[in-house]
Amino acid sequence: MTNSPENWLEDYGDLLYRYAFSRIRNKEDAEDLVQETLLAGMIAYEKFSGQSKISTWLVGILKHKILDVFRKNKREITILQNDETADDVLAYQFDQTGNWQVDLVEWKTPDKAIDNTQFMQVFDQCITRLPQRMADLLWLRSIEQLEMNECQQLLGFASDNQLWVALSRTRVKLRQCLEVYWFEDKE
Amino acid sequence: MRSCREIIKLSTGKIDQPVAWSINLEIKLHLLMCKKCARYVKQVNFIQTLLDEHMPTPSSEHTLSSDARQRIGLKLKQSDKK
Repeated sequence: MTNSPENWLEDYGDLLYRYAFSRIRNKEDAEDLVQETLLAGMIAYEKFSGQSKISTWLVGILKHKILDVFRKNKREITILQNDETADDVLAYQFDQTGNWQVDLVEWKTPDKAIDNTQFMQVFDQCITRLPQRMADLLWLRSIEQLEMNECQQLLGFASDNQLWVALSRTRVKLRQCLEVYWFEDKE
Repeated sequence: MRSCREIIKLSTGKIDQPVAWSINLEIKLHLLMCKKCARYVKQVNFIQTLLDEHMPTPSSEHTLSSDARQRIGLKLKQSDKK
């Protein structure tokens, strides 16, 4: 029977793996998450209401599993975050008096870039190049639309300020990446 | 008067945390006068739009290896028997 648990690995294995890998970026861990998700799905199948597609429901289980991984790893992340301050994020761009010390290229027609497949590939690459914790943050904020305090707890940031620093730094890095690999190239 | 660095810190920070109306007004006035800051803020806002509306979906090039598929399949069967 289609959609019965014995077909899930065949039907949704790749979908779940792609999702897990895009978040965890580790082959073995992503495979483990697929296995855990399918096992959890089989146990919970009786409670499945049928109001959503099986694939959506399984991805929902997978998301919870991924968040568990974040929770387990948060102590390590906290240690890594301690030496950054909000000012470090912007430091290289300004002189000691707070004035600009770098040139800023004007991005021509960025709105049109969104419709350009090549540009979106560059954007994808820029996200892939981000450190894992930054990518995790983007996922939680932009895709899962979690509140700041939820992100802080899940990823183990010690303070609001540290989370702000990480988000700002992420945008700064993305801006640099897009500038170097797209906008400078196109001027 | 705040420096460009402070204005950038405040204006990019307000994406995540709202600021008081008086600071918002100060940012707007600064951006009207400062071409570089206005350019930077516009670029960061564009990136935020990309993140909010155009986050890439997981790439289809990643698939479960046949080894992993076999291993997981076995585990699921074992679990099903229990």
